Amino acid sequence: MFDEMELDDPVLEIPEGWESRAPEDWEWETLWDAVEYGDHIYTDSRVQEAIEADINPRVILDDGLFPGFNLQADRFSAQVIFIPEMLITARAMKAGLALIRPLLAANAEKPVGTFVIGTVLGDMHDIGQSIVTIMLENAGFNVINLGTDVHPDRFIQTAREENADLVGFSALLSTTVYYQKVTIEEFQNAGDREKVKILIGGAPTTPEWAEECGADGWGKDAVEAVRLALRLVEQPRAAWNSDGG
Amino acid sequence: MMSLVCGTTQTINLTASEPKIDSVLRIQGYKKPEGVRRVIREMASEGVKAFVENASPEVSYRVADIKRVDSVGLQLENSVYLKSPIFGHYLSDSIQVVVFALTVGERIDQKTIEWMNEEKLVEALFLESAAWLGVEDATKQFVLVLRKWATEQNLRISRRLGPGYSYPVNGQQIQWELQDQQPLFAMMSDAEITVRLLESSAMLPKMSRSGLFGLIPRQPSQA
Repeated sequence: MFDEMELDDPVLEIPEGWESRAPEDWEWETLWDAVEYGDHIYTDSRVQEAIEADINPRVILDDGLFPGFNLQADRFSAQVIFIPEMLITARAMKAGLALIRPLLAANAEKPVGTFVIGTVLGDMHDIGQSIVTIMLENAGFNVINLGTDVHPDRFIQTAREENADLVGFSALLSTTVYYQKVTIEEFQNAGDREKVKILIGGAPTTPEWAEECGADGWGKDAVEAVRLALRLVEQPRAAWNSDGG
Repeated sequence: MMSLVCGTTQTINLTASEPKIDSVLRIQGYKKPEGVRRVIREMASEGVKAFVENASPEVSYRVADIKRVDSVGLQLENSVYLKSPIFGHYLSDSIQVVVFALTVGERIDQKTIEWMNEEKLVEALFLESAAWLGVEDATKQFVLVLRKWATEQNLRISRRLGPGYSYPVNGQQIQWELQDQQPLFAMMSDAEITVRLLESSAMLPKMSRSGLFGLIPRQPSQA
């Protein structure tokens, strides 16, 4: 089924008591499989059926979409699968989320947090941070993606305007990781460092580098970055002023 | 096989070879590409196909005389100075350098952006992997041209050096700062070249490589 399958391949965690939260004769298994294998067309149609069956959108998310997604995220962390499989799963998840997000908002469910992301000054690589963006959105973050070659001032300005909880910047070249440190120093100089949690990532980066440049965390890959963001967003931070800054 | 021209910046068109799909898959971590799911292999194949359709590899270069090289830096003609202790180590025997900027072309970037906008991230990822293999292949093509020409001139070429990278010197990793992209590209300012340098020292098109090779006179026994 999957190449590189290992004996310690993670298994699907079936949500406990899901039957009690769904109509009689309802099944989620086909949706779990669809998300797992990245079938965004089936995911879209099955989520639509769930909405029409009047299942609570939070239940659709937790019982219907997350099991297949989390299974692939665990497999990705265990290096049983790689970025392409994770991405097609994320695309399927996104298709389902697009249908239920307006319903979640109507139920007054707020985003997990606001995350400003981009690639540091001098670095034109955008696929990596686009992958992290789709994973963060799937996890419930409001993500503002500034793209590539982002000047530190633009990170700071956007964080202020959006009252960001987290800021993340990637560097894909050994030649540009230096600007991660520069950007963090600029947050410090602007007096905004304590108002956001800062994550860094990118192929040439290491946990040691994250510590040296003063980041709050380092994501070795997109899945780890999201898990880290979910932990960091819970941690206390200084408040933004009401007018930003 | 073409020859190199000295004194002014020249551009050579290179060949866009088709990268092997298995090589592209290996870049993404698949150690056993033969077992990859069909849907993933098809996306990799699409990335490779897009590379072949859109790649236009070329290299712009200029041969320049070395005025002085020591443990601090490298003085070239036209008052261009490149600063790093690596030059004293790697170019001490060189009499000239060949500075270059190589790319697989702008259309690769455009296609990548197009696919990302269409949320075809996997295909874009594979296109980028194929393009990096294309940059490697184009570099090898350029080295072959350079090596043949150098041999004809009774020269040999040094290892490739590039701004922003570090190199081992006497047991330590020594950096050639990225900011030296500016003087390096200034060497090629006598001609319009495809690779552009941003203020931040990043290059566009994204899939580009810059650097230099030293040209070292062959000893009689090496001739």
